[in-house]
Amino acid sequence: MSNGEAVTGRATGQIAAGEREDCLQGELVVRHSLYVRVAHWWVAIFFVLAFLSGAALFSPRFYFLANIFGGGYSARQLHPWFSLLFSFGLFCLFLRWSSRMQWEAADSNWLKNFKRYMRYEEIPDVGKFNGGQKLFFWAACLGGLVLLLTGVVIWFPTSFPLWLRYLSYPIHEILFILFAIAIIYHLYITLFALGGTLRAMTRGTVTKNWARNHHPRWYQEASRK
Amino acid sequence: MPSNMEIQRISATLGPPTGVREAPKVAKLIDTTTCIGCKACEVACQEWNDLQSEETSQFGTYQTLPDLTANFWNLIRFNEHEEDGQFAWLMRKDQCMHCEDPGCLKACPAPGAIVQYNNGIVDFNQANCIGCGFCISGCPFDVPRINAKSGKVYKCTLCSDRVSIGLEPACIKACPTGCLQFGTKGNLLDIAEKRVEQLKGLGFKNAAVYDPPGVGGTHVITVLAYGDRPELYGGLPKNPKVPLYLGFMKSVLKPIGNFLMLLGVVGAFAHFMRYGKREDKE
Repeated sequence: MSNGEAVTGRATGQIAAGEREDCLQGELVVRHSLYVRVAHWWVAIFFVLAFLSGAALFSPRFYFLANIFGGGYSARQLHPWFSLLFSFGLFCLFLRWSSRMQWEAADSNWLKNFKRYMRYEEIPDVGKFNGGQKLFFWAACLGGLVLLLTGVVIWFPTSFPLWLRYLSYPIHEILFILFAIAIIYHLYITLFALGGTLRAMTRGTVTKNWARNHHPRWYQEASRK
Repeated sequence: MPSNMEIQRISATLGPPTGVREAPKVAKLIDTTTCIGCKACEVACQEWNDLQSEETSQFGTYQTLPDLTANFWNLIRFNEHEEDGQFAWLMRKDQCMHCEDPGCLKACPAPGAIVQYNNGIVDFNQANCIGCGFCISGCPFDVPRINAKSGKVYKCTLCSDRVSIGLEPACIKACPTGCLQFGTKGNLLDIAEKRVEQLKGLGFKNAAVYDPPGVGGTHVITVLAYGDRPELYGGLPKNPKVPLYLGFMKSVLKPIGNFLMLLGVVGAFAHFMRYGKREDKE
């Protein structure tokens, strides 16, 4: 086994290959199917591109970010296309996840225990997604839709009445700010705070121990399959 | 863009260096009551600014084009008006009004794409323009036009290149009736007020100078025989204002947004310092 295979996990059966999920795979639990992983990275990549090119236009303090895209002119030209691709990916995620993200009593319970979650204390009865993840999902879908609609108005200003433009600019900016804050925490949680989480989106599998600790009810359901 | 005029305001920038020199505020006076619709100003504008000619259509008036375009910055609007059985053409020179408080400049996110010189002229610098069109929505007079090919926005420069070397704008040079005048704003306001008094004597009771305060006054001022109804002159707004959303975005949303994003990063960092990485039980 070469070193590269050990890192990617190809040779050790750590990658979830197909559309099977929420089941055991050896000593691992399959968390995200290939479809979900591809859609999520699609969304992530085009979000970052749209976010950075949009940030350049948000405030002169971030205008330097336009240099990533070859200057302000090309940042402005590319931004709507990044955003359309982002919206498409988000829609694909919506198709797969909207049923899994229905709000349950356990999610209200999770919200009540938010302080415990912040302190890394155990919360029982968490399914595949916790209340925070569900809130983030629905906020992203709704926010993405409004960003898309207001963005089209901003893209073709002369095709829309003035009052609609006057509304679209500030709403687009408010959502930009909300998305920025949400993404800071989304990245912080997965990359820094909760170890063993990122692999759910890279390999599609997580360890049994991670599953027991973070999503106990989901682990029980998966191990019964 | 001439470089020998000092800049007073600049788009998407924390402000130009404080200048100590003050320049007299310039203005263009348009007396709509002595305009004969000869269109010499339109031709002069096209020639001086070396603009391509635009294809027009027949839409039932003598007006050159239906609307301003990216290659046509100065359009005489031929408005047909009937009152008390009398027919009159209410000519209006549609062009950038060079607002003292320019909405376009406030809306522009590209540093240095829109500037206001200390003599009051508002100028676009296409080299810095990114083609977002924000200025089009920010303008209370619907003046800036985007060039579909280059994606850049154009409008009347008040011939800033001519003014910077002591010449009057090309349209004023060409006007045969003297209905266009160029000078300092104070002088031209005096002349305009005298003309308004004359018009009142001639029976135009509501004659007025159009220098709307909602945009801080303009550096293109207009004498209107029907000053109480500026909308007769091809949709000149009665009380134009810098759109409110611009101030809200610039003074509220952007500083609060920048602060909240910074607070978000600090909050995540503080959490990491206090709780570190979560350790899962075996």
